[in-house]
Amino acid sequence: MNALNQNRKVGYGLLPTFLVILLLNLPVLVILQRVGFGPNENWEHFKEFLLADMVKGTLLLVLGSMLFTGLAGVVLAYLVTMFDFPLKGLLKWLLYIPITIPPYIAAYVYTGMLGYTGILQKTLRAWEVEVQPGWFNIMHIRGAIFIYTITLYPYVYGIVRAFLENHSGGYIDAARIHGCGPLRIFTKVVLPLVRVPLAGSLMLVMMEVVGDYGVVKYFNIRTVSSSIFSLWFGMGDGEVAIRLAFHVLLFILLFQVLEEVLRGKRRFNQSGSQPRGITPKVLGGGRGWALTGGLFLFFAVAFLLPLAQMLGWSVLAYRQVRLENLGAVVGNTLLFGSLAAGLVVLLGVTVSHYRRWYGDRGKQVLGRLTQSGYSIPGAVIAIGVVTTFVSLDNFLHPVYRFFDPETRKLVLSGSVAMLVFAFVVRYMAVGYNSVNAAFSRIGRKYNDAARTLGRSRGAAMLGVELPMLKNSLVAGFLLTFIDILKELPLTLLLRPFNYNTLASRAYEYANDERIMEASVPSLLIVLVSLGGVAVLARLSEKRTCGKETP
Amino acid sequence: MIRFKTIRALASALLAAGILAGCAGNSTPTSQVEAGKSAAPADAGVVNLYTDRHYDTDDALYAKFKEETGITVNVVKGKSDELIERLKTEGADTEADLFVTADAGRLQRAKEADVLQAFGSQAVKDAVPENLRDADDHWTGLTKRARVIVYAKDRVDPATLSTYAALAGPAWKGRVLVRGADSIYNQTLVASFLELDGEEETGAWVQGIVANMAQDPQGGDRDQAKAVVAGVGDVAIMNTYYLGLMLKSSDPEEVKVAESVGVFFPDQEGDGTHINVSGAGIVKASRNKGNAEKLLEFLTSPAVQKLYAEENAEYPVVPGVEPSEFLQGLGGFKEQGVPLHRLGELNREAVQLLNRYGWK
Repeated sequence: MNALNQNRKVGYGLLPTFLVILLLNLPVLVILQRVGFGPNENWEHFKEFLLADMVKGTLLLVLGSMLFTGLAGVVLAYLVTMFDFPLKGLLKWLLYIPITIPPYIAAYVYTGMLGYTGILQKTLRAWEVEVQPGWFNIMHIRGAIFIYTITLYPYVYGIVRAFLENHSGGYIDAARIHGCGPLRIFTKVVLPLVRVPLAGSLMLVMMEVVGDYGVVKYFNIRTVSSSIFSLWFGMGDGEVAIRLAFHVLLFILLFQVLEEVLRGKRRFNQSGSQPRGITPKVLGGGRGWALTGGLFLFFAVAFLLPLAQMLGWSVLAYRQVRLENLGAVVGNTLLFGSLAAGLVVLLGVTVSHYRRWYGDRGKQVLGRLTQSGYSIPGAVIAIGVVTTFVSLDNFLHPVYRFFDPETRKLVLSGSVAMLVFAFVVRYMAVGYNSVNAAFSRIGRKYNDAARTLGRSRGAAMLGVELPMLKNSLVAGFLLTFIDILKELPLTLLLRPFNYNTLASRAYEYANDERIMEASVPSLLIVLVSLGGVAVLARLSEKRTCGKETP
Repeated sequence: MIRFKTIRALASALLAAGILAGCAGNSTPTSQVEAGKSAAPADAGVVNLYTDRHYDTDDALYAKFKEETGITVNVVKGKSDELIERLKTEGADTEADLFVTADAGRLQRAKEADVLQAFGSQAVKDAVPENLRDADDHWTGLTKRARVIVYAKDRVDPATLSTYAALAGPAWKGRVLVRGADSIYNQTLVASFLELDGEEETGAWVQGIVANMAQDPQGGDRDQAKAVVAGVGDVAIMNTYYLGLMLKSSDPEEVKVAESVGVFFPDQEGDGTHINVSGAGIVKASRNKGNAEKLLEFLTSPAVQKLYAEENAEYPVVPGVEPSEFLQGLGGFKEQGVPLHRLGELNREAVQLLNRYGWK
């Protein structure tokens, strides 16, 4: 079998992989082309007055959010896999649901709830409790970390839980046999075991935090992405903004390489024995209910309370919300969200399939290049995409003229194609990660086997491997879809005429500080994403019952 | 060169993807444009807007415009600065005809980015006062707002209020609330002081306000009013229309907040209260300039002005059109006379000043 691989080690799939990578990186290349390093007054001004504040704000936010999402995600995943307690089947999925609330909406909702006119202070005033101004203020870095924690921890929770459920049974059983208690198992077995999926999911959290603009803009915290905005759009200096974006990209690359070096070649392939699920320990009586209560409380803070607040506001404000075009808005959101998510999976499958024939370094490079769109703030990517499409239209103009002599020049740019392309570039990382994980898991053995039976590699992938990986592909699709549902900067900058999505409707109200009206479209975002999560849950249940995937 | 070649090679692949997605996508703008060319005589074509105004009633006005003229209004809603960037990138081939945004600074920025052209309509020039229009007619104001001092009625005697400058004095230490340096309204306010008082005096003002802030700037304009009522500080610098919107809010608590603060128009003895406009300019590469001018005329006609301004609790720009009841209740005031295009020209200097003195 080795000989079979070796003679095609480099050649196989080089062209399609290269094309996909190039396609995904075109907007990034276009942006990088504009990076300049010459002396620049605005850059000096930025370094002198804003840089320190920005570095401090960004680092605190990123590290704080990674710490708390990591903690919440791993602990919750551990509790849910290790123990049996009342309502576990339900809670397991409820804990994933906060992923459906966009961080900027959570920021507005929590600020509204805890603010002077909010339910809490209103009630306290009614009871004549003296409230010091500032007690419930969350518009600072700690508050932002809280918002990111409750909205982003599901990324960690979902990935770590899936890993623990499928892979750690053997180790944990062994530890139990040796008389380790739950705490010791957590620190000595679970933590080292989940390092790889934890690191991967924390990278996602980091990118989300670095790229977020809504929360930091509202709380007025200076971070990398708010600085890029104020340099580009506030001072009108695109060159300096791109220069900063470039440095951020370098920094993120450095971080990823560092993470990979630290992780080394550690991989937890339990080859030799079948990976086994955990046998959960039954928590009887009071202890079981206590755990259920605790988890439910957490879920209430992360989801139920904001949801209830949004519902309350929607009831107050729905009359002022224009709902006539709702069908079209929801339709747009669903259609182009799923189109983009579908393309992400398609391209993800292409790269992940061929990637298996590359060497270790090739694999790393390929992985990173596939995800580069995720490490640049959305608005910067958006500018790269417009520029790419305008050049493309210029190039294709003769072709258009061939079909219609009176054609306009900008056919592709300004169409939904541009927006969908931008979604794909930006959210490739999300879908690619789950697709690629699935392909790495099954390795090449099935493909090789099919090939010895006379199928081509491509046919083997399509006919044998894809059906095996169906669930992972659907999961990748849904994760990407949920992210695109919440997306804002790309839609705002790239949308065609008369094109609205649920997120853009929410933004339009929130931007005028009409958060109550904004909760109507926000609720719909949550509702639609809930559908996605429900499908995910069903798939996963099937998987555990039927054991259809390895 | 290599990159160009690869791009060329890639184009075919992209085209396939483009067609795939474009089939559905193109239909939005194209079908309407083409429908405009060929359909019934009542259909007088289109006008395409890039706009930073997001109000639901705008759509109703556009529908009315279509009823009166047969012209369909197509809209891309976005953020001003990013829309300018899109206009720049699309250049001569853009589909946009009219650029609509809040803040004179941004209108001027669009003009400097060379994406606007002069409008010819005499009706618009007759309707809108000269100081609310660009000197070269590259844009015109459509609504007007004032940046005022809002105070806690129970704690602040309005007789102690006078000027913006006074807020920077020691008497107001720890009592002033205002949004962050990224807020375009603050930038434009500072730009107006730069024009009136010069850099040194304005710098001192910025320093004074930073020293007097009750808390680090955070939240939007409504949050400043709430912080006044909550007792975080005693006065806030904010735009009038946010108060008007709070009075119309669906949340009774917000209405209470708006009712428990007073509005003071500063600098009445001096240069006048700072005003700003939301406005529009015709895109340089517009292919429906005639229609765009018709829309401008429509929006500056008295009946529409009233509705257009009232929705956002703003002042109409056309003299003689009465503002909303709320604004009438606030009474008349002396306006700052700075030519609005100067605000845009001085924007960068204003931002640098804010950064230099640590206005967060």
